[in-house]
Amino acid sequence: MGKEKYPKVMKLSTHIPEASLEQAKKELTRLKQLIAESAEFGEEMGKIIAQLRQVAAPFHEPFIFTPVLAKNEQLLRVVFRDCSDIEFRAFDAGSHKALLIYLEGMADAANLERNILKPLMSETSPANVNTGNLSNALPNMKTISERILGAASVTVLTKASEAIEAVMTGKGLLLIDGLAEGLSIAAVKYVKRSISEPDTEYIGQGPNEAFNEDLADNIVLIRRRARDTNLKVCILKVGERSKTRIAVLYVANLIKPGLVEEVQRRIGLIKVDKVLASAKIEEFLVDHPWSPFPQSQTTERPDKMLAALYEGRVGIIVDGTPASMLVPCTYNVLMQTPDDYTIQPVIASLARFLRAVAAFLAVYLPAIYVAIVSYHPGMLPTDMAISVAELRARTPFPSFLEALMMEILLELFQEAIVRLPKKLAGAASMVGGFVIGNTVVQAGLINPLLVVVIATTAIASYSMPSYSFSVALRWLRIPMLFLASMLGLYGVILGILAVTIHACSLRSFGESFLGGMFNVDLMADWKDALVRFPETTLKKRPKEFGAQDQTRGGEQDG
Amino acid sequence: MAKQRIFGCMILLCLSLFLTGCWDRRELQDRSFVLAVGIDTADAGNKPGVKPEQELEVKRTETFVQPHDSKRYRLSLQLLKQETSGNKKQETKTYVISNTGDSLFEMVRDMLGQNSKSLWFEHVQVIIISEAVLKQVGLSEVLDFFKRDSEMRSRIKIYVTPGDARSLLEYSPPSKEAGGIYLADLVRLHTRNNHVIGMRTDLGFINQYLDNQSNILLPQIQMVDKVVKLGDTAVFKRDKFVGYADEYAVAGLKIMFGTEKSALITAECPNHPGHQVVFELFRHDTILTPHVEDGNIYFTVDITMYGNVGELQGDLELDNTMDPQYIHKLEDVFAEEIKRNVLYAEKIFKKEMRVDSVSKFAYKLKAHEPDTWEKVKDQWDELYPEIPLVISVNIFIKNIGAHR
Amino acid sequence: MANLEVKTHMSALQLAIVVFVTCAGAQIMLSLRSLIAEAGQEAWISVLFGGVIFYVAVYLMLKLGKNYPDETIVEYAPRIFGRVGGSIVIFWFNLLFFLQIIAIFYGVGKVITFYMFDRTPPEVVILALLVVCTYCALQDFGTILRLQQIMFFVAYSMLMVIWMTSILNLQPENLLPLWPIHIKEVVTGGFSTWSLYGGYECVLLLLPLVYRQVSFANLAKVVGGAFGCLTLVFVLFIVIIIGVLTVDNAKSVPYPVLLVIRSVELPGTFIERLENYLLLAWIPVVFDTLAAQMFFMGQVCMRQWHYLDHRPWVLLLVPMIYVGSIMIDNQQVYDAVSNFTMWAGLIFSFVVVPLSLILSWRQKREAGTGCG
Repeated sequence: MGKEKYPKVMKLSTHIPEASLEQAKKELTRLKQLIAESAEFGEEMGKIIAQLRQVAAPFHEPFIFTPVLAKNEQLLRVVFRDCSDIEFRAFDAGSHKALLIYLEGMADAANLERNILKPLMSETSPANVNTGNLSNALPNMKTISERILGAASVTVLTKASEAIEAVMTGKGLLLIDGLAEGLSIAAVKYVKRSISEPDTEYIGQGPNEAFNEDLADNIVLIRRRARDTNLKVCILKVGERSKTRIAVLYVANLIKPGLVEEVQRRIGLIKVDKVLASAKIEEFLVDHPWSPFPQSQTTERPDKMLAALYEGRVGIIVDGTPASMLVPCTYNVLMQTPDDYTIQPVIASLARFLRAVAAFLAVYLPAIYVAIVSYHPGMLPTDMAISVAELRARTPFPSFLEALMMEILLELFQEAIVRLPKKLAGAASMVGGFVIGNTVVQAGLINPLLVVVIATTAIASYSMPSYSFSVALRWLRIPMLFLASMLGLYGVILGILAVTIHACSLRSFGESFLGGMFNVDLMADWKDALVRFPETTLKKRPKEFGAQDQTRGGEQDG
Repeated sequence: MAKQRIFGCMILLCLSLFLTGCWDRRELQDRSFVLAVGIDTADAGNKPGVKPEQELEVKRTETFVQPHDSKRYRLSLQLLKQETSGNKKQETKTYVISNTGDSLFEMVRDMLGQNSKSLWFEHVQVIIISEAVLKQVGLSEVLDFFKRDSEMRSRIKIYVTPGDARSLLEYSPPSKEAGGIYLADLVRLHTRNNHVIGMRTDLGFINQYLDNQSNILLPQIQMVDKVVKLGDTAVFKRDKFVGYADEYAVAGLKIMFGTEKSALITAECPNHPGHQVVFELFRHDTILTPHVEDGNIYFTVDITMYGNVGELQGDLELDNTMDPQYIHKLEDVFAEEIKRNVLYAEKIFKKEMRVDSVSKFAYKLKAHEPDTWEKVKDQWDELYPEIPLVISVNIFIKNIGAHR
Repeated sequence: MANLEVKTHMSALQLAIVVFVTCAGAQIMLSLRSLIAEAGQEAWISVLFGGVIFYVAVYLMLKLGKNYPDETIVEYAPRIFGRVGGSIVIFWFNLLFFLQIIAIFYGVGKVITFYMFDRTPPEVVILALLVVCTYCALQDFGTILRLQQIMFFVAYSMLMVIWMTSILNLQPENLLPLWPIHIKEVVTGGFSTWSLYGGYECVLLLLPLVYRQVSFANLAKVVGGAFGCLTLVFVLFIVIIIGVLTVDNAKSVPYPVLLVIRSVELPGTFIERLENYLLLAWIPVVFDTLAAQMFFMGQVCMRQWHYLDHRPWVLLLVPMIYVGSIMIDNQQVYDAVSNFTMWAGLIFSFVVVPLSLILSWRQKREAGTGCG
């Protein structure tokens, strides 16, 4: 028997390093660790779910209330887990245990103490001679709120989601052992900005109150100016996670039938998770989101909103932002300011006309400059042409490039000014003034005529009453410049036509954006569009908004 | 999906415009302003004292080889010097380049070789044509290039000069304006200067007269001893140059047609012969009407003038302007003077030159008596010198000035 | 969804404005020279005569439309003329718009490239204007109606203001003698003003949009007012052209309107080269005629082939229009095309429309006596 030749056993790990035994062992221990950890997680999650799912709950609710307070409290603690600013105040209401839950900082603790804790604790204690025998007679929350509590606004809640939302909005939540209901008490007090002056819509001779970020305050500002029961307020909640409150205001017997329903329908279709600014709502409400023109008017003045409501329009106030929206919106509306109605009619008409001219200049003046200087210099008188040619002989750039550079510089400047802190703004404007005005000209980069043109354009665009409209105008300048540099004044005219067509084709809740200006059907509206006639002649509402009651008188019935 | 496709097609269409260039973009400072144009004959500018060989040198640099080998005109252009900063002490604001050849358009394009920027005619103020050219060809031939080009303005002034057009272009006015503007502004005062015809002598109106086959009048400009002066009138029959009419005739013609706005009538003092009294016209009514009676055509001109006494070089004792009788006497004297002026103009234009200036009489006849016009329009040129003109003048002196 | 747009109807005054804007278009610049060459001194009488006869044609069209409320010609032409005849009539109707459009594009390209630019090829000018007109024709009628009202008040008034400055050079004696001597030329000139007034056929398409409550007399009166304004505008143009230039000068210039404006000098202002201003004010006038006619063509095609949307038809027409306007090479072809269009338009207005009135009256009478 000879030595058998066994095949040489080779280690697999020499050829495939990952297949070594140590490696495999390491991986195995790691895997076991992971499995153990995930088992732990699973257990914990199961516990939480078990806690929540101990009672049967409908689809949208996390749980339902039971008459057992301890269970309710446990469920609520699970929901408010890791929210350390939620206070759970346990106390005795007579012979029953009670729990008051509120959000610290948003609930008015003094109010809650005075109106909830004290009555419940003192008046239902057995020691109280008068009402001691009531301690056993606490059938339901309603009677409690009617007989014992002193708070001004209470609501009985049966759904858990409502209760949670009530606590998150700052109300106090009262739970009593033995009752399967909760009571929310509206004692809300939190920090907010006080009523101040408007930022962008200041007028010289009229009221200067502006909206602030609180919805209730804003509605109060409106209500204070009109004691009309027909002014309806309808509050909706938008935003899956933020549950922001939105108020839709309208005057019921003036509005066009179908308008409010349409607005509410569109708001109801919004599915976002948070709403921080009214612009978000605006983009869902409008018909043409791709257009540069604003299709709803943004205002932070309550008197403007009230005037619009009485023309038959709808106002939308969003909690958390002072910018409120008014729909439908047309060009006429965007170009009016309350100032027009506080100064004499003739002067107001001139001011409005000037604004229309300013809107035109803000878009087209650099384009006209480029077109005339490069394409049609014959249109200048000879002396002026000679002086312009001499000015331009010193600068190296072609006119289109010059204008584009100045445009970019101007836009940069405007962006920078907005972002600067207040202390630097003064210095920055000086730098800008010198740089743009003086030094660029002296360096021979830009000719002074172009500086005049750009400065006029900038000032014209600042004089627009609506900020979003003026931004739209600013950025429309660039395509016009391109058109002018390709086809001269012909291009400018085509650009004017294209912009006018676009503006005419915009619709805002059925109203045409630009059409009301020269529509002969709506000739009655012309009295308040490009010019302003005295108040004694403005007896009718604007026809274009289709209000039901056209005369600006009151209701004739009692 | 369809909407996106429509959008895409439109964007492609718009982008195709970007792919092209901007053909007509020429910056203002890259254009060379032509302020005035002068047309001479090709051998004008023979300066005395210059050697013939030197002259030939000059001529050769100014021309290029022409296919037709004939050089008829010399075209001179007055260009603007564009001042840059720091160089304000130049004496002249303009300089002149010229070229000889046959076709004006060819000469213009050839002159691009003499200049660094492209020539731009939109601000041409004045065209000066020398008499020598007009003796050879008709006016419409010379002006055709300016009529046809789209850059020319319709209000370019046209002058005729007996001398050399180029020297007028080289003239630098003492007020240091650009030369072309100065020359054009000279005729703008024709409403006050009764000796200059300027009512309708712009390029557009000349074209209108040429189309209507009217006889043209153009102002004459000349430079004598470094002084530029507008004076007589060049008279054309259709578009052929016939001759000059002197200033007194022009004044009379303007009075006859009623195209003056403010004029001065000078006469001798009635009480004080040898001294002048001047009437300043402010307002007038002049009506020129044709009348046809039994186949006889005659014209009447009724002139009514209102004005002031401008200057009285008389003796204050003998000439009492406070006296209404004296005023009437003055009025008669002035009326006589006007009548004499108009008759003189008639003599010059009608009898000597036999030209119906700006075809005014033909025009009036056609407007008021179209039937007669139909009959006589073919023989108008022969008929016109025989047609009598009846003049009646009325003068009213409204004011005698600040002193008696 | 509630329809908040209550503007699917027009009033009679708006119809009048649409007719005015569609008719007064590019031809005031392009075709006046041939009119003056034909009619001479009495061209203004031709224009008046043309205004009267074309108002009669519009009146007949209004009557025809009132017989079939809520229907445009595309729907009732087959009923009057039978299927084949109806298609021919509709094709003719469409062809009228098409020929006018390509003639106008060609003219615009020529004028703008000669007077405003130097080396830009006319195709670029035509293409740019075509893009803007297409963008407008793709919108719905409400937009176009508003746009035309804006143009009426802004562009036309600017055009007339600039035009009126030429009164500074007016010599009234150029217009004498006033009374017509050559009657035949006046009448033929009157018929050839169809190119000036063309475009009123759109009434046949627009009548269903006018409120049913508007009475026929009111409608006729308001449209008559529009025609009166049109005639006034054209007469003003002719009178001032002949007054400033004379007939002979106007005959030898391709675009007398521009020569008149060129001769205006406003001393002491910074405004020069008024013909550029006039051209700039004229472009919106041209644009709204073109956009309206392209929209109408799209509508006719849409209704003929039972689509719901006119937009694909407009896009289909764009290359046809571009090619058509490029194919006109020179002035002779353009004159031939204008002549053909004029005859087609005259026959349509004065033969086809009265014929359809008679036929429809007969049909209604038969239908009325048919039953019972």
